[in-house]
This record gives sequence, structure tokens and C-alpha cells, in this order.
Amino acid sequence: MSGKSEKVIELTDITKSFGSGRAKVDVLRGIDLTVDAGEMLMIEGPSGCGKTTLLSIISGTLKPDAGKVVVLGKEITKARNRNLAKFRARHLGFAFQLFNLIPSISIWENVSVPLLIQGIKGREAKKRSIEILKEVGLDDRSSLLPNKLSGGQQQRVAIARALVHEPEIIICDEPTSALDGATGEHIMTILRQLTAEKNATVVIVTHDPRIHHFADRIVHMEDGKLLKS
Amino acid sequence: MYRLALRILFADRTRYFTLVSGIAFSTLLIVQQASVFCGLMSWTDAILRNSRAEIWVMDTFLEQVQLPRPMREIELTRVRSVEGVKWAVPYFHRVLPVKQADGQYKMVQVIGLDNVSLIGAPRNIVAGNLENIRSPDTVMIDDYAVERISENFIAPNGEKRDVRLGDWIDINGSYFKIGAICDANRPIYGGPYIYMTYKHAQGILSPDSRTLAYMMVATQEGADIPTVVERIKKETGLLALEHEDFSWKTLKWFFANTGIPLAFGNTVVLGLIVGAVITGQTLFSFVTENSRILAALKAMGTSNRVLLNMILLQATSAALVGYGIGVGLASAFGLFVIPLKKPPFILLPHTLIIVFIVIFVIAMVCALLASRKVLVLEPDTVFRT
Ligand SMILES: Nc1ncnc2c1ncn2[C@@H]1O[C@H](COP(=O)(O)OP(=O)(O)OP(=O)(O)O)[C@@H](O)[C@H]1O
Ligand SMILES: [Mg+2]
Repeated sequence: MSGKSEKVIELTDITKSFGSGRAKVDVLRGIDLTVDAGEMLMIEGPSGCGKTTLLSIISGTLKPDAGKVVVLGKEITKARNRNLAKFRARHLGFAFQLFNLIPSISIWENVSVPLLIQGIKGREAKKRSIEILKEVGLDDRSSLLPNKLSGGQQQRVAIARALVHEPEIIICDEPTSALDGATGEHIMTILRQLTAEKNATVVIVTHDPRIHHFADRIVHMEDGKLLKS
Repeated sequence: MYRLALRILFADRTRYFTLVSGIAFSTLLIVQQASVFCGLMSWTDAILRNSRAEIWVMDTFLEQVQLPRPMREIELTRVRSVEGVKWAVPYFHRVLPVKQADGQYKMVQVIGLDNVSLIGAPRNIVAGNLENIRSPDTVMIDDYAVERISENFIAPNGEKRDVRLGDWIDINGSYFKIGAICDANRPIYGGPYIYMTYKHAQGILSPDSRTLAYMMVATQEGADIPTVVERIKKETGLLALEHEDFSWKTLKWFFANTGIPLAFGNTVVLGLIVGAVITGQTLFSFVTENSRILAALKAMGTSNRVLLNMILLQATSAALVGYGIGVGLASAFGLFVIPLKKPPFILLPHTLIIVFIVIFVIAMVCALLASRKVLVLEPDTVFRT
């Protein structure tokens, strides 16, 4: 992360629609948003308002129709797909609603995937994976298969995977909505603590109000627009 | 990442098993059929391989070695006078019936050899002596003839046993004594071989029949064989062919005039289709079922190239294992049937190489088709469950 820019994510006048003609849906209608380094930002709003779409655009997995996305000082709206993939592999960590762990490989191997994608293999990858698993309290389970774990534990693995390569930005879509209240609270505590230690920026989409108190800032979204909070 | 791809593939036991067995089955079918086909085709020129001549001379309109068109005896003299010809000997070939103990007939191929030199006799004599066939009414039969004739043979004393040296057989109404047994290459059809002198062979047929099926020709030392071939053709108006060319001519005839290549070809194509469908379908469902995880990998920054390579690697490794098993099974089949001597089994290195390439290409094409889905997958679909 460059020292001079405190703004890690800057969105300017983002629009996005799906479909065409009569079936066209304007999902994002002029979004401006900045996120500071080390900030934990939550985006919430009613179902279908465009939260996930916005998150996809922030993470560079989806391109907006118009507007500018600058992440870590790089204008990703202009980047080519291949470079964008490299950029994501290096600077972004992901945690998904349904964890998306690979069922046939062990927990530590799952955690090591972002390292493998970057070409870090073998002993080094294993060491770093076990280290981060220790931080989420699962190092004693590292050689089990994911299906041997509870939902909360699987999400902890997913968070370890999101952090193992020390990305500057963590992207989470509904990280707690598949979990019960207490487990969700536990996951958020771990996420909050680890990202604070590493000064990582976190963007979370959620409509789980029970975790709102972890946020540094919450933006409300409705009908493709952000409301001032 | 690639090690991971293999781990993921192997972990999916059922699918891996399906993939490998599909490819193995396909390989087995193709290799086995191709080898039996090669074996069968190797039988087409058995006569030529049993009798080896530098040059064969025959009627111009002859189609293949099993269908002789006898010439006039006088042609022998004309061929002998061609420059470069060291010697030319007559060769009798005719399919004739052997009478069985029950009155039924079995067909055999009677070969008549030059009375003096006995040129064209198979070298591998397993019982008796080739020279015996010079004696009146004496013949040499091959091991296949022993087998065939013994199926229904009754000795003079009424005993039911295999034929052996000294026994008498009825060929087309004339009686002949077995004076030697040889080991000859089997024919594709027409029955086993019985060798006798040209003179004896002529005696079986009515006196006005033409008997000169072929001439076996040797060239003088230092003579250029193709040149001599051309000279014979030009000066006699007959057809002359070197051993290899005659084999080819015969083989080509079988390709053009029998359903054998087509029948085998059909099975091979069937094998290919089965292999392609199983491989394609398995890889496709693999990709479809894992699309959420593949999308996650994509979101996390795995490039299309790496994902494609992962799937290609999975297909390749399954193809290699499947090919190995298929070839192993085909060879086992071959080892099992070779002693039976029934369908000859000739597994050529060419077959192995061609089948390897074909299987490999099928696996690659299937992997490419299956991976199309991954390549067009938008990484953001991982967020949409
Ligand atoms: N690929 C797509 N093609 C067409 N329409 C889409 C696509 N992705 C999203 N949409 C539509 O865009 C709108 C916003 O979707 P989005 O997933 O961003 O909402 P959300 O706020 O995340 O909703 P939820 O809280 O239910 O997850 C929805 O109406 C959805 O149907
Ligand atoms: Mg959503």
C-alpha cells in the first residue's frame, strides 16, 4: 500500500445495468464511495438493491458500465482481465457466504490456495497456511477435510484463506448469514482482530444487523444508490 | 496449482474411475480390434510367405494370390528366356476337396512344386522328410491340415485318431500318402496347405486343365530385380511382381473387395465414440458440478490459462492411466489368444503409437470443450449462489 494515499478504494459515479431493452435493470445508479486504509466498511440494504453487484465491481470481478474504480491507486476499470486476475490474487482476499472450500483437499491445502495462485508452493506455503490457521484457532485440524468441520469452523478456514497471502483488502459477501448468531459474532471478532493487526481494509456486504457494531462505517444502499448515513 | 488439480481429480473417486475406465475400454477395444485385424491381414499373403520367390509371374488379370488364373505351360519357356532370369519354376495352386471318413468334404489348398527342385516348399519340416514327396502318391501336409483332417479321420483298422505320417488321404478322388508334415503360415481362407510335386498335382485334375498358376522366378547375380520385372512384363505380356508388391496387391484387394476392414473399422469407430462420449461427459459434469469452486478460484485470481491447464492436466493424466490399462488388457487378451492360433493377434508398435495419439487428442478435445464453460464463467458468479 502506498503511504501517501490513505484512500484504498475510490469509486466515482459507477453505473451498472443488466439485460437490455425492456428487460433492462439499472442495478447501480451513480455510486460514489471511498474506503480508507484499515477501515472496516459494511454495505447493507434490502435484498436486490445491488450490494453484491457493487462488491463485485469493487473487487474487480465485474466491470461497471460507466464510472471509475481505483483500487490501491490503480485504475482497475482500465485493466485487462489477465492483469486484473493477477491484481486480485496479490492484493485481495475473499470470503464468501457459502465458504467455497474445495471439499477434496485438506484444510491447510485450502488455505494455501491463494499462495499457490501466486506461485508460492511447498514448505513455505504449508508453513504460512498453518500459521494463519493457528490465528483462527484451527491449526489442530489442519489436515482434516473441510466437511469434518462445522459451518462456523469452515468460515474460519475461509477467513484464514482470505488472509494467508496478507492482502491489503478483504472482500466478504454475507460472511455470517449462513451461521447462527453466536457463531457469526465469533467469526466477526476474529476477522476484526486479524485485519486490525494487519491494518487490512475490509469491505463487507451484509444484511445481518447483529454484526453492525463491528463496522467502522456502515453505508446504506437502496435501489442502486447509497444513502447518506 | 497443478498438483492441486490432480489431487482434486483423484479425490473424486467415482468420476476418476469412470474417466479412466472409459478411456481404458476405448483403448482396449481399438487396440484389440486393430491387432486382430493386422493378424487377419497377415494371413492374406500366407502362400507367398510360405514359398518366397524373388519374382512371381502370373496372368495379367490376376486380382490376388488366392484367386489364381492358370496360364499355358509354354509361358514358362518364354519367361526362362528373358534376360536376367536365372531360373523359373512352375507353381500349382488349387482349392480341392479332401474326403472325410463320414463322406463329407473339407477344402484344402493343393500346392504343386517344381518336380526337380521342390522350390517353394516351406522350410520348417516337423515330421518326415520333404524328399518323400518325390515318391509316387506322396504329399506333405501342414500342421493346420493335420488339425483339420484329424477332426474326422478313421484309421484303416477302424481306430479314431489323428492323422500321422503314413496315413492315406483322398484328395479330389485320388489317394495320397502323408510323407511329411510341415509348419506353414495359415491362410485367411481356403483351407490348409498340402504340398506335392507339380506332376502329382497335375494328375489330380483332368488332363486338359490348365495347371500353371504361378511361376517362381530368381534373377541372376548382379541383375537389377525391378529391371528384370519390367522385362518379363514387356516380353511375355504377363504380370510380374516382386514378393512385397504381390503381398500389397493382395492386401489391397482385401481392403477393396471384402467387408473385413469396414467391420473392424466400425468397431474402432464405436470404441472412439464410446471413449469420447464418456470422457467428454465426465469432464463436462466435473466442470459443471465444480463451477462454484472454479468461479471462486477465478475470483481469487487464477487466470484462465492456469484453469485451462488444470483441466487439460486432469484429462491427460486420466488418459495416460486409461491408455496404459487398455493396452495392458489388450496385450493380456493377445497373450491369451495367441496359443489358440485362431484370431491372430499382431500388436504393431504403429498401432500403439496411433492409438496413443488418437486417445490423447480425444482427451484434449473433450477437456477443451468442457473447459469452455470455465473460461467464459464470469468470476463474479461466485457471489451469486
Ligand atoms: N448477472 C446478472 N444478470 C442479470 N441480472 C442480474 C445479474 N446480477 C444481478 N442481477 C440483478 O441485479 C439486481 C441486484 O442484484 P444484487 O445481487 O447486487 O443484489 P443484492 O443487494 O446483493 O441482493 P441480496 O441481498 O439478495 O444478495 C437484482 O435484481 C438481480 O436480479
Ligand atoms: Mg447479495
